[in-house]
Order: sequence, then C-alpha cells, then structure tokens
Amino acid sequence: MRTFKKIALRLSDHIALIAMSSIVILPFVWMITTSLKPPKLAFAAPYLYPTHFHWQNFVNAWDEAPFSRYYLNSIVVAVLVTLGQVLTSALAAYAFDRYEFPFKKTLWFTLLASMMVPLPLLVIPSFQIIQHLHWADNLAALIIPRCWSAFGILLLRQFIHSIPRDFDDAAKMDGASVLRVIWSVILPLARPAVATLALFAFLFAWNDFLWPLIVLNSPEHFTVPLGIANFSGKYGTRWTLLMAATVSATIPAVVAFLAMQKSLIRGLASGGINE
Amino acid sequence: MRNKQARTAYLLIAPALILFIGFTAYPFIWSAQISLTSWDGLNAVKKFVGFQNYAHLFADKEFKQSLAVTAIYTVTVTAISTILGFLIALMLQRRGKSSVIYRTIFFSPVVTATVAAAVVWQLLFDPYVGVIDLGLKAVHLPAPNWLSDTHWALPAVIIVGIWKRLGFAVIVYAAGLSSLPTSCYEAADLDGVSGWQKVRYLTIPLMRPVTTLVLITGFIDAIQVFDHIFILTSGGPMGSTNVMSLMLFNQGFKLFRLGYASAIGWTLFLMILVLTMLQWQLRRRREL
Repeated sequence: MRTFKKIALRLSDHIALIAMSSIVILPFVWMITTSLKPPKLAFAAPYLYPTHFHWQNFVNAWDEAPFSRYYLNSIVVAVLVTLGQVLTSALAAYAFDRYEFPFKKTLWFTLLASMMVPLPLLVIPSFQIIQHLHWADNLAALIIPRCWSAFGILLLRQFIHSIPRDFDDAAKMDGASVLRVIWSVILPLARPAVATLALFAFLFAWNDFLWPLIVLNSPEHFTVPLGIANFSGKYGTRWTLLMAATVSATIPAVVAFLAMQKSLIRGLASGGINE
Repeated sequence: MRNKQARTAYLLIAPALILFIGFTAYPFIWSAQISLTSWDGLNAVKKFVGFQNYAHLFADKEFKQSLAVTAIYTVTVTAISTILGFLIALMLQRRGKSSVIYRTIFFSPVVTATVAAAVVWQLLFDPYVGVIDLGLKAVHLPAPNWLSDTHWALPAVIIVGIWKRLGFAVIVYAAGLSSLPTSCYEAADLDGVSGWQKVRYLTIPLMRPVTTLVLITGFIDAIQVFDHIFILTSGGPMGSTNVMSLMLFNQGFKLFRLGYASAIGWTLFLMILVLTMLQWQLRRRREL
C-alpha cells in the first residue's frame, strides 16, 4: 500500500513537471513552427510541430532587416562590456581584499549601496552626459558606462578572499608586479567566480533594451533587441515573417547559453548562495 | 610603506571608481537636482520648483494608477514565481538525469532576449490566432482579447513576467536544496515523519535565507520592469499596464518633462531602499 502511494506521488510529480515545462516551452515551439509555415497557412493547424519548411520566411526577414548587423553590434557590445566588467572588477576586488587604504569602508559601502539605484532613474541624467560626450547614437554609449559592476566587485572579492596570500607572496618573491599577480595568479584561481560574472555581464548587455532605445537612432547601430522591436513595429501582424525574425534573434543565443549551461547554472547558484 | 600601499590600492580601484562616479554616482545625484526643476532637457535654464514635481506626482491620477499597477505586478510576479520555483525545485530533487532537462527548459526564458520573447507572446495572446485563446475556445471558456482589454492586459504581462522569472527561482532553489544537510532528513525518516511534514518543518525553515534572496532580488527586478510591457501594451489600454518605468520613459523621453520623470525615478529608488532596509532588518532580527 505504501509503495503504491509512493509511486502515485512520483507519478503526480512527473505529470506536474511535464505540464509546467510544456507551458514554459510553448512559446518557443509556437515561434519555431510559425516561422516555418508559408504565410497563407500561418494560422492553420498543426501548431506544435512543423509540417512545412518554408525557409523563404527567413530569407525575407533577413532581406527586410540587417540581422547580421544587429548581431555584430550586440556581440561587440556584450563582449566588450563583459571584458570591461571582469577586468575593472578584478582589479578593484583585489585592492579591496588585500590592501588597507583611507576611506576603504566608506567606498565599499557606497559601491554596495549603488546596487539599489534603479536603472530607469539613471537614464535621464545619463543621456544628458552622453550627449555632452558626443556619444549619442554611438555604441560607445552602450559599452563604456557599463564597464564596471558593483555585483562583480562583490562577487570577486568574496572569492579572492578565499585564495591564500601565500600565492601572491610567492609570485612577488619572483619579482612579479601587482598586475602580473592579478593576471597570472588570482584570475586563473578565481575562474568559477570570473565565469559567473562574465555570464551575468554578457546576459545583461545582450538583453539590455531601455538604454539602447534611448541612446541609439540609426538602424546600423541597433543591437538585436532594438532591431527586433523595430521589426515588430514595422511588420506588426505578418507573423510568419516576424517569427522568422525572432527565431533568428533568440535561437542562436539560447543554444549558445545552453551549451554553457553547466557552468552557468553552477555559477548562478553559487553566486546566489554566497550572497 | 603605508602610503605606497594606499596609492597602489587606489590605482587598482581607479578604473571601476571613475566609471562609478561618472556614470552612476554623478547622474544619481544630478537626477535628484533635476527632480526639483521643471527642466525640459533643451533649455539652458533649469527653473527650480522645489518639491512641486513630487506634490504634483502624488496628486496625479496617472501616477496613482501607475503605483497600483507596479505594486500588483511586482507582488504577483515575485510571489508566484518564488512559490512555483520552490515547488518545482522540490520535485526536481533526487531526479537524476531528467532534472537536467527540466532545469534547462525552465531556464531557457531567462537567457532569451526579453524583447524577442515579448514579440512571440504577442502572437500567443492574439485573440484570433493565438494559442491561448484557441485553447480557451476549445474548452468553451471565454477567450478575452488579452492585450486590449483593461481587465486582462495586466494579467497577460504578469504571465510573461512569471514565465521569464521562474527559471531563476528554480535554479537558485535547486542549488539551495542540494546543499541541505542530509542528516536532519535521516533523523526525520527514523522518526517516521511524513514527506509533507519534512517540507513544512525542515525544508522551508532551512531554505529561509534562499527565499529571502529570491524574494528581494525578484522584487527589485520586477519593480523596474520595462522591456516586455513596452512591446506588448506600451502601458495601455487606459494605463492598465502603465508601470512606473514606462511612465518615467514617456514623461522623460516623449513629453520631455525631465523634472517630473526624475521625481518618478526617485520614488522608485525610495521604494527599493525601503524594501532593502526591511530585508536587512529581518535578517538581523533572525541572527539575534
């Protein structure tokens, strides 16, 4: 009787999980099947698996909008923001952990407190600053202001704290400079934390919408989210075309992230728990 | 020696610090000043108006509605995604291979560009060809015109918000659950404690720090929501999905009322500040 109940419970778990994951995955399935249908059959069953492979939708979508350009812009922005955040955070985190200096506590607290500032509040004065710097409608506006991260400094400091100072000292005895120590001793040892920060930074820059929406004007500078928003405004209900565009915009990124998912999920989890 | 140490430290911090000052601290303080003016962003003269923007704000019907919409959105999205995330993580426990597949599925919305996902949801919510209404009609339920009905637009954007957030809660809870000490559970098993009681008296209390984290990051995330609502409804119909970030965007970048928009931004900041302090208080009380 007891085992029967156990089996029933496990079964109900399975059914609940299948139901919920089906709902979560539904938009992706719908998107892909619609993107492959000829426009005339856009609203005809079946919905959940493709019966046609009308690749022309993709050809048309890429003809109508320069998706390769959007991709290039997004990749440039996301990669540079990621590199910038990792580098500036590593240097600052190392200083905060290994050195004593005036105003250390005040600075630390200020940096942490800045995580509470909502981005929508910052966009108004930031846009004015960007105009003064003549960075409006320029990818620099999406990159340079984002090349630091309070979260990154916090995360890396926690990790660097667990690396014994003996490692630094040994390298210094061999005549290594501080930068050398950080680059060839600390960063390799802090790989899991660096990977977490890199993924967070990349995701953030890749998804960013409000700031690019305000700063960018010319289509040749658009990132993927902006390109898609623009495309959807133009081709409102031409769903097959629109879905071909969203497939182009999402699937490569999702696949890339899923390929890295092990380290991503592990990093995310540890980042969350350590807080 | 000491001086040299301090100098090295400051040189190391400098890149992050300069960017922090230039693009966070300075605009943050400046926005407080802008919120006390009637500046339009073009005029060189910034007329000081004191707290007039704030006074107008709290008398503004649009803002009151926006506050209510933001509160409903934030609370429901955070609460539902946290509870569902916890339950799913519980069900995924000790499930071996298949749990990896499930986790991947639940996590995929997190890594999908919100704007692109919103375009897909636009199709799903379509009253004629969308899957949701097709499904509802198939079982003879009323099929609302989701995105253009004042009663259904907010639930629609909430559904998308939960869809997007759920994976994060699942992953963090799953990691938390896997790090729980097995010894308590073994003792409970010996005492013949039922599965539900174990969840109620062991898992939930032990997971409290994780729950605080999921809730507080969820709140701060949801209260600033912009992307998918901008695509799905742009705040409409009749302001029924006009969250604070959207109102700020429209006031600041469509009507060029920078002072007014900054006052909205500062209200948003103060709300986040209160939430965060509340969390600190709760945490401290628990540690005592």
